Amino acid sequence: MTERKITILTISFVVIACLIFAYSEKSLRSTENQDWWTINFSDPKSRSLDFYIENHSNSTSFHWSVSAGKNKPIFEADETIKKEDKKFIKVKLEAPQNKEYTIRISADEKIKELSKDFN
Amino acid sequence: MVFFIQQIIFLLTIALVLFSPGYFLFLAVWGKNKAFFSLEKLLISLGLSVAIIDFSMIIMGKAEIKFTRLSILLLILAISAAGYAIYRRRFRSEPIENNSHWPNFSTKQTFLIIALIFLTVFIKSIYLSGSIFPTSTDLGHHMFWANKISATGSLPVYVERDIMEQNGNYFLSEPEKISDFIIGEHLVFAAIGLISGANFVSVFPSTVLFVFNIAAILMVFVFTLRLFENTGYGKNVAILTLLFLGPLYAISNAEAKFVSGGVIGNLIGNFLIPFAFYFLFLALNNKNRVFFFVFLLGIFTLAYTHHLSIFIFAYAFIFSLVFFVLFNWKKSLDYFREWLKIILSPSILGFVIFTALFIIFVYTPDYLRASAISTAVGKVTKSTRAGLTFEQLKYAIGEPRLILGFFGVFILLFLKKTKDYSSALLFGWVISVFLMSFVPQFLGVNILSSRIANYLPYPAAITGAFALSWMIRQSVEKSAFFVRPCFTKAALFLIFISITMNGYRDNALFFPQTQHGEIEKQRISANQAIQTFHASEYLNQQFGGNKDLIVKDHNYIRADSWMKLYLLQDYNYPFSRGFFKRYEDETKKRELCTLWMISTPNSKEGIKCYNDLGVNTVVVKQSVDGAQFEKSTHFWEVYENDELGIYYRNN
Repeated sequence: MTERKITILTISFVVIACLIFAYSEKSLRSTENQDWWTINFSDPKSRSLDFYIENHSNSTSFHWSVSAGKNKPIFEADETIKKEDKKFIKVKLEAPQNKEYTIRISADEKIKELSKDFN
Repeated sequence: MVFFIQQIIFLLTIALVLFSPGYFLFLAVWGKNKAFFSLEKLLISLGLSVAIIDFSMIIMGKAEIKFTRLSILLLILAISAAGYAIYRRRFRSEPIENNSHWPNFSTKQTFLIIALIFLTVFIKSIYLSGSIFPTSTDLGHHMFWANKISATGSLPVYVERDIMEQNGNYFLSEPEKISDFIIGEHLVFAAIGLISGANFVSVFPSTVLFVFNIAAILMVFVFTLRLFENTGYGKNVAILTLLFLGPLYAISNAEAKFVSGGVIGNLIGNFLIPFAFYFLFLALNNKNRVFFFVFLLGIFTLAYTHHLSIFIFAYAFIFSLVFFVLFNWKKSLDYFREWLKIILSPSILGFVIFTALFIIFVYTPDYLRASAISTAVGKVTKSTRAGLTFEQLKYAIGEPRLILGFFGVFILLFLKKTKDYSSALLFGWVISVFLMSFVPQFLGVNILSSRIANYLPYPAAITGAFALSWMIRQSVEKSAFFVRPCFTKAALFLIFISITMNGYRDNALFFPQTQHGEIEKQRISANQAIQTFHASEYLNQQFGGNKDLIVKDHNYIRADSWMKLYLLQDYNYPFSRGFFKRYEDETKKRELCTLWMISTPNSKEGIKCYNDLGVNTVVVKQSVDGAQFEKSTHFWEVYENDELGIYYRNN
């Protein structure tokens, strides 16, 4: 019977270890352990400037602006986006010009940009 | 609760795929014969299951039966049911013989075995819990194939497309064969993924590898018990083997590091090599054809799992055979006749013919091509293949294991028991691997010597355990060494302390200095990988079609080799700017487009590459390579997270 005890205990140790690995991954993927945010165009290949902000960080206040070339922003606004939320921002250009359009998004001193050059 | 249920399903799937079919085949062949103890049954079930899953799926694939959850489940259930039916028919009325080979371990010895297994699992788990997140390059490459099998429901075709240059123009090659991958490395993962639904981009692959790693150590333990079964000291040798292979050096090289690193073939090979030797030993010792059949099945499975492992096994087998014949020269003809009686039987010959036909007509592993063999056998071509020094070997396997391992071989040589199968097998295994890693040029071996040295700990642990056990017996039984017993015992105690400290110090090298710093490092690394995965999902949604071509960087992007699992196109896709030193390697000329397209995208060469190849999407680490794309009017920045930027070339 001792050899069966050894086998059962071995299986138990390995099963517990596997559960630890799974829990470790779950913890690393959990909301609490994420601190990043991302921006992307909804249609990266067209001339649309619509974009998403996806928040996995502890910041919730975002400021975005759209500029054409080096001019002042055409549009800008503040958004409040909770952690794990994703927001779609529609940018309607009435008369798109042959310029480089830059979308600048900032939150807590971090700045990210998207750009499309229509030259 | 959902998490807990998912894990139960996953663990049950591992039991179903990796143990169930093998166990029922075991029952069909041996019934509930107590000649095998439960740990042996568990390990034999694993080896048989790997063989069944691999070859059944190959046959299914060739018969164009699609791999789905249902088809794999039905396969396993059918085989298990058939095995059980045969068991019932054959063993229904036979009494269960109580002829257990389990040695009578004392309570203290049993406690020691359990403690050693616990420590082994514990130390490896502590290390792996921090490093098991899917970031490893090698594992990403392997899981691409497993995922492809799962997604397409068919056998993989190991090909890749490369960027080529001709007359100053660049183009994509036709798919060309890759000999680095062997199908047995991917089928079990595909089966587990299909049934459980587990995401390949997770800890699932490493968890399966962990099971194989522990199984390999236990396989050597049970093999040692069998090797020294008829001696009075076999139990001690087996326990010491478990110490040398288990908690000591639990992380280095071919152990836990390979689990998180995803060195699949080596890890499964580390289990199948002692599995094959175990059955070879049983077959020869008992003159039993069934054991010999399973031995052949074991090496056939090994051949379809890992080319280096089967290569090592082949050398170890030849050396063992030569040593046995040399040690038993006078009776060698008698032994040949005995072996022929085992081999020349319908079942054995039938199996050999079946395997030959299978290799030729059903599925031929790519490494069996002449060009692949010629790169591994022959003249040494690089300094890293010219053999390791003793110093390097010491670091590769641990000084105590190296010294004791050879001392054990030395003792065996001068003992009367030299003439038996166990000694010849051990000699052959240790000495062949040692020579292959120390002086490969004399054996015509042209493989990275450090990779070969990774195979030495397993046999060296057995002979080292034998040496230590012998020394203990000499000091206790015979008061040998011409000194007082108390001095001998003190010396042995010091040796034991030294071995343990050396092994644990090796483990400590892989653990962090400060726990808090390490936890933060793990969190950052996981965050970086998660952002790579997020970017990959975006790439697949927006640029996953045939009209777009992507290039990414390998130097700075965390977990970049896993990006291909999201796109599931070519193995070599997205194209990758590799390590910079590879572009300077004079012995292996590479295309430079992947370098130019990222490092100098606005240069004449970079633009030519983009135009010729049609690459229009680039993924780079923003902080390192973003600047050259932001300056360019040709690129739109379409995605950015904390780590990566994706740029689209619009003209």
